[in-house]
Amino acid sequence: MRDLKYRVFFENLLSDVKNELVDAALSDGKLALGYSCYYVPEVLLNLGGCFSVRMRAPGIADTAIATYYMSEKTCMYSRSILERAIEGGYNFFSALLSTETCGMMHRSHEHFEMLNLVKEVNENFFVSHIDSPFITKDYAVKHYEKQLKKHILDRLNEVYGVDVSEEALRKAIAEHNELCRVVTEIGNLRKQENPPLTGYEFHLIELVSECCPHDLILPYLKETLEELKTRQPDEKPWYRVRVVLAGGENDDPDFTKLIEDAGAFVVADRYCFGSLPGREEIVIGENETALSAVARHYIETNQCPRFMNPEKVHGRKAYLKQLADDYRADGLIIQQMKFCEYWEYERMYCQQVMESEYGLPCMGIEKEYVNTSTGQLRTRFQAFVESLEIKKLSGEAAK
Amino acid sequence: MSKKTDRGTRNRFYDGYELARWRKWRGFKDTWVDFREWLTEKKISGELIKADPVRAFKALTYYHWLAPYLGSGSMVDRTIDDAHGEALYIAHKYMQFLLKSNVEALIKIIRADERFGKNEYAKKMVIFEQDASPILIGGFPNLTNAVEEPYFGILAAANDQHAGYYFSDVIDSYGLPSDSCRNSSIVCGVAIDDQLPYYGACLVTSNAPCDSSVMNSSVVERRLRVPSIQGCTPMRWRDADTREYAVQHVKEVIKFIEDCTGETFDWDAFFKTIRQYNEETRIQHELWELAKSPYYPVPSVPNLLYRSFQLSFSSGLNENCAKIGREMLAICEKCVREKINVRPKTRHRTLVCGAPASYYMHFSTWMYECWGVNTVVVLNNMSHSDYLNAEDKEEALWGVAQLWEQAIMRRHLVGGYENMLELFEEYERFNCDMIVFYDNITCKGSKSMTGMIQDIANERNIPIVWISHDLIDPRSIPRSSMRKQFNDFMSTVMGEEPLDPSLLDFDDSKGW
Repeated sequence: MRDLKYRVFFENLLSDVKNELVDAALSDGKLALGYSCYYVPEVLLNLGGCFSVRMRAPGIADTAIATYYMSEKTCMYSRSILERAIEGGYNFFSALLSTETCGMMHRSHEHFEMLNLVKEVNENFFVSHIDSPFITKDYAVKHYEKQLKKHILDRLNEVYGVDVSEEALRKAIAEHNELCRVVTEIGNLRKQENPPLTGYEFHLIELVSECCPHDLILPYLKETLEELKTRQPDEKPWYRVRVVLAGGENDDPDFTKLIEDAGAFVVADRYCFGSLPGREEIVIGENETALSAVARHYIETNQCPRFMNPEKVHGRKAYLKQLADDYRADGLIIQQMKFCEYWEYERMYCQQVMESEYGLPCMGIEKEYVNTSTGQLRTRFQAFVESLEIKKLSGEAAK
Repeated sequence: MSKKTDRGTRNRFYDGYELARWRKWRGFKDTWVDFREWLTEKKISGELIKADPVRAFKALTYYHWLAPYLGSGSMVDRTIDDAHGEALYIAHKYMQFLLKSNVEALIKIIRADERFGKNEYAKKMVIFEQDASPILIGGFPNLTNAVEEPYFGILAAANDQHAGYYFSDVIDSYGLPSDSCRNSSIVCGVAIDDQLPYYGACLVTSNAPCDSSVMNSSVVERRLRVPSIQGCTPMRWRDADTREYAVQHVKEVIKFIEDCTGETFDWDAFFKTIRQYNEETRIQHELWELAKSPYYPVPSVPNLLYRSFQLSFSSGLNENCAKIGREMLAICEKCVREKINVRPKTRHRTLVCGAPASYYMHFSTWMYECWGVNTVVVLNNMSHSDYLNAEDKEEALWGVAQLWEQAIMRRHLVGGYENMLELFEEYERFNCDMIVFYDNITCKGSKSMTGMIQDIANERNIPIVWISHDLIDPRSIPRSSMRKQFNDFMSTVMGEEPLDPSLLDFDDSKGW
């Protein structure tokens, strides 16, 4: 296939948190609002005059100072965020919207307060923490809605005078939905037998949509969608097997590339920073306020293993199986950041039940935020690809 | 390593073991008291068999985690080794109360266990995951509670340092990385190894204290095969706007228990339990006041275990809890009033933070004997300590929610960094001059605060020592390594000499 027109442009955007589109939005006087977790609804950070930046630490080489503060036995993503913050990498933020979902990430955000980070250059900078529920019952959704209002909307309004009215929220939802439609349409191309894009390219597209101002990235995404509609794939599919990539934090397109280099096409991205979930449109029901719809949407679509109620616990596995069926995947790769308590349990359980109960071969990977041992990972991916191929061949022979 | 010719406390033990050649000589009166109470403890431990010998035999041969409780007498000896005079009596009485309560709880579980035959107890028991106070059972006089998780790991390893890692290996081989909190992972190991007792009408899980205990619940739920409800209290518990959600959730739990058991919540009985809980809390507050004095006689380990029991097991349900508390309080008051110093070796008053190693629960006993470092306050004991409202229903339920929110460990690990930094306030309040931080290497919540705590301690010129341990698994960080960390700190940073050189380094790797 010919290269995507904007592939290098997207890669460059992802090489720095404060990229050229972020700079452009800042020079327009917009407020940059940082967040890390799906529990903080992206749409609320894209109200008029604001734009969301999902926090990454690209190119981080050493986390020595953050390791002093958080020890070496904690999640490297959390430490990398703190290290980048200490370096001044998020000094352009107007606020950091956090949630006490995973303990280490939350502690990383708390260090912004403890070490007085960003505030030295922006005295209005604040960190706000929401309390997110562990269950999906109505009263839990109501609680979540109240938390979103108090710790995100009210704070933005009080500190920066951001318009958080019903009209402003509806407008933000409409704009958010437009972006979601474009990304989803691109993502759906992965369902094709011989798709016009790779998992790596989609990973780039999804990431730029999360890390750049929506209004500035949207034209590029639309143009890319049009390009993909006419892009001619190679005559024969380039991949050997198709896999769903699931798990925790993963903002590294090179990780997807590593899998694809081993011959496995990443057809679905069900991980933190992925589009499944993340790019579903928000539907405002009758007699429902915009904020209620946002709260309901983010609880309903959330696939975080932190949810404890059985509907979610079992639903997460069923969702993976559903993705595998929809995207015609042969297997599942579930990855987890080392020291991530939530995903190490979920990975363990998926490895045990996905094949036996759902008939979906599964491989578990523990990785670091900065992957240096790529040779070992590549060998494991190659072995998994081979095992899937053998299964496919023996399945065909049986037929 | 100490030499055999060194004269000191350690000389009476066989090398490698906790087995003593003779009981410790504490003077005529104390040795007599110690021997008398030791016999009582043996008798209490024997009750585990005596109450229902057939079922006990079956349970002991089936459950790997149960056998260590036969060695609980040795555990008591280790935890009271530093006690003399009034302190010795207090330590024995606390430990006897705990032994008795735990043996009764185990007997209850064994009797109800349907692995060994159907019985009338099984469906009258509501299981609570650890850290979820069972206080709500006070409102169901016909039901009884079971808090079983600590028996699999923390308490088993306290009895026998080697007891926990069998289940650690089970869950590791199942695919869970060994960096996950041992306390939670061991319960999963028990579940995966089919070592959970089969009993109970229903299960109330808990999201306390941390991320891993959230995750282990689904493994336990799947294996227990009884209806369950998720006890999910808010994380940001200082935020007043979380109250409505928290109270609603407690109501859901009550309704769930009613639905599962056919019982109706009895508010009068519940308020009576709350009053009992408040009495336990009052006693604790008075003990804390006395702990500020240099004449406070309670050794730290019995105190830690008693307080943990009070919060996580009793919560007003065990009438003897307040009774023993009152008796001990009277002795403490006498010691402080009459200035009786039963901790004469004290060179430092220390605050201890973090979860202690279960396999070395008596580490603070050793610190006192070897270096004269007297643990006067344990931060984990400073979990929920407010009085509950015993008249208004909504307020009472809010109290229950707070009790769950501020459970042991959770009180300081979640809800904001300010909660963890309270350790410095407690340090001042109890007139300490040193901090010992039990650095559980799998506890992400406290590990991710290490730099900040060290910075603040440095600013305030507070000596702080980090003692790394692996909670339930002594293979990665053995007891000797913990002692070495402390010895190095005391000799190099504090520049001090040990009180008893025979205790500096020795081999107890094969002991219980």
